[in-house]
Amino acid sequence: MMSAPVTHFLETLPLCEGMTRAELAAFAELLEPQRFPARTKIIREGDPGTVFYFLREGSVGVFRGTGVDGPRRVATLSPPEAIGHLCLLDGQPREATCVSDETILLLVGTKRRFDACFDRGDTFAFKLIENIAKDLCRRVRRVSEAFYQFYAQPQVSIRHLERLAREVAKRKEREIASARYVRVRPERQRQRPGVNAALAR
Amino acid sequence: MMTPGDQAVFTKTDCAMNGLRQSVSHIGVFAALDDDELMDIIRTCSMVHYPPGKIVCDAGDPPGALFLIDKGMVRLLHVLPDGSTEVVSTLETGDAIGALSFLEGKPRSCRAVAVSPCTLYRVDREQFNTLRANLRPSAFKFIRVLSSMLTARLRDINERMRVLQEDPEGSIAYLRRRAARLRRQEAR
Repeated sequence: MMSAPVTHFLETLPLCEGMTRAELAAFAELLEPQRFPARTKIIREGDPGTVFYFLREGSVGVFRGTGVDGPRRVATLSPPEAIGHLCLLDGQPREATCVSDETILLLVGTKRRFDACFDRGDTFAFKLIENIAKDLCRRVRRVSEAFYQFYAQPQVSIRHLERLAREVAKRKEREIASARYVRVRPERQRQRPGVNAALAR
Repeated sequence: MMTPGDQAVFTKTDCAMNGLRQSVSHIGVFAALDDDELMDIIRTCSMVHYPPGKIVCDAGDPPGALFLIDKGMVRLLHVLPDGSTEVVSTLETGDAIGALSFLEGKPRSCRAVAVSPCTLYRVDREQFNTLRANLRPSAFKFIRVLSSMLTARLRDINERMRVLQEDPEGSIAYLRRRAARLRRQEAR
């Protein structure tokens, strides 16, 4: 049985808008509180979406991409926030990696249990899907506007892209330099068998 | 609400379920529904036809029906403040038009133009909202499938944004060509 504060917390989430007290309590039954230490990978980019979270305490970094500079932080999440909830729509692979910045408290739910509630006709599940859909619409509009802004102001975009081109050129230089380092390293190791043995230990 | 000239898809009396299933099997959103749910949604639909070049709905139009492509191709265009357009995507059989506005109740975000002769299922928003208000499972399953199509659109835009930023040289060349094309159009 979940404690009352969980329903109070759910009440503050836009994704739970319109849910009655009974529906919030039914939803709370689906969620399990879990604490994670700092630097825990909650979600890994590319993994299948089977679990969703609500952030109650602490902050989480969202990272995207790979490459020589490593993943780039694109956002920092703080409570109350839903994480990985788009998996409830399609179960597609994760779009980003989420790592805890500090000790965090999450409410954890599985897609499998949610699907069972939805198929049974639980109204909290209907309302959650409707709210996720509306949130998704807002995100699509926002991202579309940002994307097409590039075409709306070509001169501004060209200046921005020229700056980016310089950054990309620098990154490529660094990639070439690091590739050279990788090629050179085995040579060095062969020349220093004592060091290799220490590393192997 | 059906408008004059729209053609009802099915009524209670002529619903032969197998025939109905077969006739809508190519529309992904319908395929996810069971028989009762499919009937619920089909009752909110009418069939509409558009010749090539005809605008199905325009950016800024008030929220209205959702269109599902039965046959034909429709081009989705983003209209920029100067009136020029950028292609968002070309939609084909089974794809949805106007999902954002249908779900959110906000003005249309894009212009949809028929590229070839098109037959579309028109899902009436008011009738659908009645299903939603009555907490009919069909409405929420429909919303869920429709939203999963939107996540694909979100991923597509994110990917295009990534390509745009990762190949700045190529993007600059494209923007310069575009600016030159618009200048030529203005000169004419």
